[in-house]
Amino acid sequence: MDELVIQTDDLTKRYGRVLAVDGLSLEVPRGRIFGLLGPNGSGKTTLMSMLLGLVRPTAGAFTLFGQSPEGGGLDRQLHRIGALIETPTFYPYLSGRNNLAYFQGISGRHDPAELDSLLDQVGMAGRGGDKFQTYSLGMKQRLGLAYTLLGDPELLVLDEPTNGMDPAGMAEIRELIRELGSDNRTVILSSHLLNEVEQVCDSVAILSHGRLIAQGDVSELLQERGKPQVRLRTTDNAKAWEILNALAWVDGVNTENGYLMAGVAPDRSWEITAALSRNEVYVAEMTSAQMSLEQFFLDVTDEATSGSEVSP
Amino acid sequence: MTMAMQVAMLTRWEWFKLRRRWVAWILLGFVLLIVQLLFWLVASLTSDISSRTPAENIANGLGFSAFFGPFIAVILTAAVMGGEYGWGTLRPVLSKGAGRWPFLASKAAVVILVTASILVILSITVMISGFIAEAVLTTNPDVEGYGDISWTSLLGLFFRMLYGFVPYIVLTLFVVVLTGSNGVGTGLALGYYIAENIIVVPIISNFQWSDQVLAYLLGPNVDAWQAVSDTDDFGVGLATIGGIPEMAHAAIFVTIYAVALGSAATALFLRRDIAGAKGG
Repeated sequence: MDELVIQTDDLTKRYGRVLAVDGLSLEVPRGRIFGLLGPNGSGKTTLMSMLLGLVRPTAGAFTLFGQSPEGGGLDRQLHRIGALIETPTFYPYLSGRNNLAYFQGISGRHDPAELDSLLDQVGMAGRGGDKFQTYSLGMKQRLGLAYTLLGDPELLVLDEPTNGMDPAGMAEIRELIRELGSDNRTVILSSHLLNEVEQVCDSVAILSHGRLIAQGDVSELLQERGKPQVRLRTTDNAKAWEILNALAWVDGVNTENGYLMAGVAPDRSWEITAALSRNEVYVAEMTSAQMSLEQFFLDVTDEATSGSEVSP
Repeated sequence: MTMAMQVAMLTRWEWFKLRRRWVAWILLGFVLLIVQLLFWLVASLTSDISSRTPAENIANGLGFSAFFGPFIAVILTAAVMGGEYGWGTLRPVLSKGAGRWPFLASKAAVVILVTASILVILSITVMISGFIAEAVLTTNPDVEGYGDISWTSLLGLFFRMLYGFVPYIVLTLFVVVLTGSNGVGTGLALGYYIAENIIVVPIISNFQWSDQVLAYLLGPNVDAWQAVSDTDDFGVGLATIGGIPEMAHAAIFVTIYAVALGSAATALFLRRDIAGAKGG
């Protein structure tokens, strides 16, 4: 079994009458890029804040690197974590470089070369001397990423790291996150950009109303949930729809944006081609279609919302 | 790393931040300006300053600081702690494993050290002004100063001045942690200082039972503790409990206030959830 970097057991946080996190039991193995997904108010930030000691759990327990944070051990464990929750907030009157120097200093280290290297790594080498208050949101995000990388941590916790960035910047940061996760480092990525999560993450956990509603490898979750489909366009889609619907081994046919979506395993594509051509309908385009993470997310959160009681 | 070393390291990095802010330098400039104005005002009116020893002049300058010192302590403390709430920087600081109580202790430590530095600079400038006064003003040997103040007793006075500001520093830490705001923290702490010293004490003093009440208030105890002269009747006429000397009584109550408010601030800071930026 993989070593667990994070393990929560029935973790709960209640703010007055609002149940922000509801008995959450989650496992994050080492060396994975782990996506943390959920609608607004689903408890993602509260969960991350509890793991970092910023918010006290109402009930339940958790371990970091296999150790309980009880008894003052959390501060030592935090030296192995680089985390940024929500929008980066640093000292506005300090330069980006001095902000990093401060956070490096309070971690008990002094390594000016690391500061230059990190600023360069996140594309801020030319602006490190400018005050934080002059930065755009995208630049603040980049500095925030450099902050999380101080001390080469084993676990990165990133909350919407590409928020406010232009498309080129987003692609650059996605690539950086992939690189960071390739070296036995664990990355927890919270994002609303499901396409981004699908591209970057190995595993995901989906929260809704503070509860864990799905967890697993991205590919496995999509395969388990989504039935195999073939996406095709023909010379006569209406006739093709009738032909495919009449076939016993086709599990339903839908129309989607001018394409037909047939419930067939991709390895039976040739049989579709044969059946259609016998009826003088010819395939112009055909691809295997897997359920997207976005569709999966919408399905499971809809089910969770309709099936769950809203906390008082 | 021991806890003491952790606090010392965090204090060093608090100074790294504070020296890059205007507030510390503006307060220093304000203090020097006010003390020099008071010094030369007294010197020109009484001409006795020119006959004082350097130690007496410094004691005089420290005596001026007893009035505005709490203002400096409150504004500085609220700035260093309240800023963290306003900018939302508690999250990245505590996420780096700084530790809650060492971080709070480093805030108090940097304010005490900066206040001590301001008192040292103030003392040096007053001493220099004393030399200038001696050269340019006519001496009046008939006017008595504070008595024979030695350098040792001056050191004691310096310590008492500084220690007398500690309850106001921890009071401010407490209200800033309680309210999560620089502005509200400054307002409440200064409001307490002003209300107690300018409104409550003068009003209570009119009643027969005032002695017993004043003995428990912070302001009169700090006044007695920071009294400049070390002669027997130096104090402010503080009624003491159980016949103990006025200075000892003041020391006990200043310490009780500092420990109680410091403990309350620490307990609150350890228990509170940390939110994002408040912007004020």
